[in-house]
Amino acid sequence: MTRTVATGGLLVLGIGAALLALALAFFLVADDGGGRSPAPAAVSADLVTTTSAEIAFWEERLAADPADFTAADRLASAYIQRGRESGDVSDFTRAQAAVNASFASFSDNPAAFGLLATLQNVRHEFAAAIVSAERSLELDPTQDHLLSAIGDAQVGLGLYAEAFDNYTSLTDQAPSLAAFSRLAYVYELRGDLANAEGAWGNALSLDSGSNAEASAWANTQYATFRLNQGDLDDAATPYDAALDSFPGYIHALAGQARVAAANGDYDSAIALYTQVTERQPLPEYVAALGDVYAVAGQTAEAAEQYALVEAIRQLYVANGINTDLQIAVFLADHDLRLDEALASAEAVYAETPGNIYAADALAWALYKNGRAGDALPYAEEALRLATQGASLWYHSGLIHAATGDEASARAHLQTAIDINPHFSPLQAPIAEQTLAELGG
Amino acid sequence: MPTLNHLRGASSALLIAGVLFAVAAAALWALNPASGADHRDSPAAEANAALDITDVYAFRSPANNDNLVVGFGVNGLTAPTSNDSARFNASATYTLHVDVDGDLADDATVNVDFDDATPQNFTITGLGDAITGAVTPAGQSANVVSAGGISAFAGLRDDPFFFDLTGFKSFVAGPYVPAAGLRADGAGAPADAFAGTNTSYVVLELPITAVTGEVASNTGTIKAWVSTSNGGSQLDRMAIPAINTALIPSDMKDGFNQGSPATDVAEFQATAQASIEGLRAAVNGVLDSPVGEEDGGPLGDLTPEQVAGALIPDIVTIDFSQDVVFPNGRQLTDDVIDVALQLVLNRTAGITDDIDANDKSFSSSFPYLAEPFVAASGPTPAGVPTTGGQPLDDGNGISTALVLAVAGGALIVLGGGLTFGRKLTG
Repeated sequence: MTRTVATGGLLVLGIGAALLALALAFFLVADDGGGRSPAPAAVSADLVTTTSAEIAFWEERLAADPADFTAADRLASAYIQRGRESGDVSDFTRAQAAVNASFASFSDNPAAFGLLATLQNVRHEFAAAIVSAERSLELDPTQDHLLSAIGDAQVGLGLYAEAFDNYTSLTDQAPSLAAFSRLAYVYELRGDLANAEGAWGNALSLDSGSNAEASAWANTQYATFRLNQGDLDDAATPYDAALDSFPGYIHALAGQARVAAANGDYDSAIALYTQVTERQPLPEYVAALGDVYAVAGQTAEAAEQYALVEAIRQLYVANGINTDLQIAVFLADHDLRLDEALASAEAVYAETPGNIYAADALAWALYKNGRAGDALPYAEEALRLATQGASLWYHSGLIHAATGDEASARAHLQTAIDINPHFSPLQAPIAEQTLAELGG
Repeated sequence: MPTLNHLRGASSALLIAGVLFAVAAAALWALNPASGADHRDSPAAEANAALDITDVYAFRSPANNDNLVVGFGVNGLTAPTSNDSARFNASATYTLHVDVDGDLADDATVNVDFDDATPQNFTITGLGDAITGAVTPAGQSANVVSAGGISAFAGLRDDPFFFDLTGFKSFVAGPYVPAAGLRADGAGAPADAFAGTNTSYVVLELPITAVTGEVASNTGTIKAWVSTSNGGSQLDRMAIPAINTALIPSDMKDGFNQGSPATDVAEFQATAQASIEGLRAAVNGVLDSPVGEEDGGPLGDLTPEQVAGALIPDIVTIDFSQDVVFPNGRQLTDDVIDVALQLVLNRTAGITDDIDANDKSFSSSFPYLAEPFVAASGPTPAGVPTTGGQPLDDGNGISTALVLAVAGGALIVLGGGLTFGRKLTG
């Protein structure tokens, strides 16, 4: 009964939102035809203004000479950068338009193929990204930096060994923040925290300081790496460093919110997450805000946030838009629309069968649908790299418990808590409680 | 665990807030349905523009006939709005190689290194006592360091190269009868791809006799080239413009960048000759029938083998007993692309990119290159719209977006569905 009512409400929400969203979409893209683009959601005005000025410069050049492929390449690159800085994903669409303009003038342009690969990775078109990057390298093999695009696509596809090789080549041939941060991530996935730490050290020491967004990104990722190991204190400094480089950087603010929540400071966590989601209502941060409300006992506010995530989900489905793996996990985490969680996880797994997070999402959704036996092989697959990610071990622990394998359940739940006792304000207490019930 | 039944306790105001909130979120997502905002996505690894040599100039000083000026650039195509990010690589070494006896081995090497300060400082070694100085920030007067008859400068300058890169690339990729300059019919007018942009330059001026070892400045021959290296590995090298671009096939470009003039003839001359033969055949097939009606290049009627021999090894040769004008050295004003392309194609008539001069005048005094472009300052740079596309976040969260959405009124009529934002990607 409850779910039926809620669904009806969500449909209303969805329809209303869809209509209004059309308008906003129109306003955001309506003046594309004039060769100008709207400024993005400003986070750090200085940074985004500088990038906007560069965009204006290359837009003007391209308008004056539509065949100027170098201007088109530079324009695409600047749009990609501003999209990262502002979070306004329509900049990636504008970047694609610039790449198309470049190809129209110079069909064998290696730089344009490289930019296309980057955009395809952004859109999670991983197989296509590899094809584009390889074409670019065929046209100009001096572009060592394209190993990053190929590696990124391989990570998306779950081809971790191949990605590791490419990232290692990249750090050998063209050491940089961008190269070592990628290598650090694969080490982290492999559960090799010592080498991940070392690679982060290299990445941050190679920060040229010329790209504040990249600097903030790397510090934030490093802080989150420490936070994922339960190191609340060690995470604070790099989050602060990120905000120094890029004031208002939402991912660092969200990290600080996570630290506050882990410390039980729910008021601060709510304030920070609210600041983040008002700037960029990314689903994972909206859901995280809901979780903090929930553990703070503000259940109505929590439900409101969850409903927003759900409303957005409805919009996706209504418009045939491919959904995110994070949505499947969100639904399963909150026991919402579990049939859809499973369908979504199955779709993600079908697209990227080797990706451990796709396997984890599928295991978790199967478990939540009462199919722990079916979930088990996927839970094991999600742990095939021995990744030190608490939620992976937590999911596996609950699944093993449900299949009656209490020894494995105890071991996996203990591992989750050992890795990071604060891994989730909602789930970590369940891990503790289940472990206690199992006599762990 | 909270479930949706809590919604029954939510006020209608909350629901409205929820709808509006969802609108903003959905609109952002809808514009790019894939997770373009995935914050795990690493920043793009980029080509290291600070190590990518754009051009090498070597000419007799306009201010002192007894002096040689050598300049080389990196950080090509820097938009004036990005001047601050155009830095020299502090961990790399920039090297000028000079051969005075014609054996293609280094007789002198001049290394230029930079520190990590802002502005950066440079150190030049290999010319007697080390020369140190500050890199000149764009917009400030050139910091010229002079010591022992040597002058040095480093910093952004207007890119001195003038060249219709777009027309050239297109023409070389598949020759046609050009409509204007090297542009195909319908491909627009020739345009200097480097006009309005800046490039980081190192410029040195020194007595010719100090380089050649001769007693006068009108005798002797030197051969020079420039390389960049990092951690002992050479990453780029250059002397003559467009050689690597036009004559070295893709699969040999890495080897070429890491090569050196001493081994160029063995490794690349035959390849360059084959490229020249291929280009001539392609152009002859388009421009003249029957094939072969070449009118000769700027140095007369030369075979592909002779031209390959002139362009490989990749080295700037200056015979000081002759006029120093490209290809004997390279002056700032030399129209090198026309000359190089005419040499390669063994044609003069009709072979020009129609870009004959730089967008800025060169100076008669050191460092000779024109001052860099500087972006207009102020809160709103020229060309950035101030209406119609205001940021979603105006300091009050999503309110602007909501005002826009609600103010739309009949907005549904306007939309093309949520695929609108994808129209360019489809």
